[in-house]
Amino acid sequence: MSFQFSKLPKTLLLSIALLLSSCGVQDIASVQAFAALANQANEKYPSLVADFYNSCVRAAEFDTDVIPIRRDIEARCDRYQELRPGLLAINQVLESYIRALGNLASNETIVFDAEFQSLGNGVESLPGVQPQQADAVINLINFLVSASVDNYRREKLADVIEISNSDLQITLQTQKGIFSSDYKRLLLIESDTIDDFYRQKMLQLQANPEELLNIRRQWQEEKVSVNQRLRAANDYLQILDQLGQAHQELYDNRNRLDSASLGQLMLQYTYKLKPLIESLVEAFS
Amino acid sequence: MSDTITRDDASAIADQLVELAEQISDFRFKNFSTLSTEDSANLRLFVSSIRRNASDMTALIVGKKIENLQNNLEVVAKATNEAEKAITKIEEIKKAIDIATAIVRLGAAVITLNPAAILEAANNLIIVSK
Repeated sequence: MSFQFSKLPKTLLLSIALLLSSCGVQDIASVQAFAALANQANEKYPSLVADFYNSCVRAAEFDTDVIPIRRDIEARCDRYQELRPGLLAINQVLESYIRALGNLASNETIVFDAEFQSLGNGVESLPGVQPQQADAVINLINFLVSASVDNYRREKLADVIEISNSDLQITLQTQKGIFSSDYKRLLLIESDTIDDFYRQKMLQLQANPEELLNIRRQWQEEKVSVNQRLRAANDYLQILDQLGQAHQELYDNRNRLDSASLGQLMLQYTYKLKPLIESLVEAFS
Repeated sequence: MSDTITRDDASAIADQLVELAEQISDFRFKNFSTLSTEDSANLRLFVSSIRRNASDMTALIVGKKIENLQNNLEVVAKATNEAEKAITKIEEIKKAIDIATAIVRLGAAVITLNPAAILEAANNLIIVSK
């Protein structure tokens, strides 16, 4: 199965732009410019997912220099590779859903490739995902496919938002749960292990001030990297929150989607997302 | 109440283990000059082991069933809280080693999902933390 990597932030913004244009709001140039920036974030999502495994391996490297023990730890890190297809699949479903909203807002139909429906398999096999959480993702997939087959257009936009809101919110929470617990804990363990490694080094090199300075510098560099990724993880969680809130606003206002005030509201979300996406891009560049 | 372990349940235990590992590590560095090489090395190994159990926790137990889940969670939380309080006041190295050993055992017992082993390991941690 081939996965298209996330276009989530970009497509959210394009969708918002389309919603704005459908609302008659002309000032979308800044949104389009931002979409170009957000496209960089799309390319970083696989790196963010890959960092589950990479963080675990980095911690192993700082934990021990005994090669057999390190190999054993690294082998245990392999389980984080198993998360990758499921996390990419969830993100692709979210991206597809938001792209579909954009299409409907511009009165276009929704089109998926033949493999889209099989994304549910990746989600069901994601370790630790509860059946009701997998069901929510699969409901979104099935609904999008049926909306595609039935040639939904703009007049169905409110129905799509109404029917999908609950499943979308659960899907966002599922993704959020994995990043907020597993990934952030891995980064914390990596950070603590780096600290231990350099504290030990400093104690061993107390009699050598020059070397001590060098070690301190290396320690700071390692900490900058892990702290930057921790900030990016927090920013990604905020992006998911903002998506959930934006969709909830759409749901609450689904019967007056053509109002100018809604356009303004959605524009506010694009500005909230901008620094979060910039931070994500920076952390994995 | 469901006996299926949620991500929140597993995360709570894993986060407690990470915190305890950090406390033991701090103890080791604060007392580095007075620890024997062997004790220092042992404490370092215990810290690594606790972190590994924490790292493995959600991947291995989320979605699994365990009898009397709520009771198990409560006893684990009580034991880790007792350990946390004890570590801040430790003066003897032997006690630090005993607590660290008991935490490693508790983490391993949770991963086995065996209620009897969890109860035994948790009670042991409570006793050595007194």
